[in-house]
Amino acid sequence: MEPRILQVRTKILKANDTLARQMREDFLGRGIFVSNWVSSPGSGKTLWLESTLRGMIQRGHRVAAIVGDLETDRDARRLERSGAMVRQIMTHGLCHLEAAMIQREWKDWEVGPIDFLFIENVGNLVCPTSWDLGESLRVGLLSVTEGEDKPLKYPGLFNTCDVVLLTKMDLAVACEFQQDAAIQNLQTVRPGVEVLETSGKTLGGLEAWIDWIEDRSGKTRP
Amino acid sequence: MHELSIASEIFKIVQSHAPDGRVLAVGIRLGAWSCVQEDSLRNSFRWVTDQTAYEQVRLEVERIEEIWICETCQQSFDQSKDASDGPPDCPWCGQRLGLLDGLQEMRVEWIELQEEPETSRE
Repeated sequence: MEPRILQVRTKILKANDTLARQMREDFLGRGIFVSNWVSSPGSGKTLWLESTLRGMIQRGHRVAAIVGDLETDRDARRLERSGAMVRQIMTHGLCHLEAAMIQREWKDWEVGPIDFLFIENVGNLVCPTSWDLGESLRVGLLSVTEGEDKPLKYPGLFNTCDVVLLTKMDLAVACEFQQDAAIQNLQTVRPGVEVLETSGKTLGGLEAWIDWIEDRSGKTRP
Repeated sequence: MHELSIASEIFKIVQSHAPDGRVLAVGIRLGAWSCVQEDSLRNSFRWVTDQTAYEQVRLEVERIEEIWICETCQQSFDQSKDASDGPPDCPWCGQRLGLLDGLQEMRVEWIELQEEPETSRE
């Protein structure tokens, strides 16, 4: 028996990447702009997404959301209050969403024509990093309560984000949040990333955020 | 624990190239920010190959360092640096506008197969 080296040079997540690319083409072909929201647990994803969905519906956009958690459908029920159609994925222990999980939810979902699909990933600053879900935009959220050095501690995930929302800005003063340092740290791990200020409590920054995502998606007010 | 998903994908790739199970080792490359914990990945790989024809396969991991692309001159360069120091100066044009690249990379590079020696024909 003799050993032989076979050069493979294959991406480990090729199967996921291939499916995600097909899904992205399919979504864009249907005129659907998909965003994948990633952050630590408790950063305010669900509250901000609920406000985003409500604001976009008020502007006449047709929106839907898929939310991932280990257990319970609590977040789906919260998001449904916006009036959007929502599906919950319970991962039962898995720490991230994968493209195949989104495809399974999507293929039998009679959601009708929509303009935007929002995917709220499992709250985790490590594991969702490498899984493309077919999105056109990756949204990172960083709450002021987490500390401005979070991007340096978790550079991999923040490096994949197209835009980062600073959340809970209404608590910034109480937390002595150093916004300039946070932005500098984000720029260090993701040079050029856009950063927006938000508050789910006061809805500060909501209109600017919806303007931003409309502009980015090329979908202006109907 | 996403390492278990990654180990499963590595195993599928190995199986697709060597369905007969005659594999000695598999070599993978991981980017500096691939968010993969090596011990966890090794344990996961042992677990997914357990009690299969592949349970003796060695997993060899090569870490690749940061690759930067200069925004000014578009040259790429390999320079390991602490993220908190920010982008390094480009060795080609001296500007400090590097973009990170290759950090998230995860690839199966090679598979070492155990092959039957060719029998001489009479």
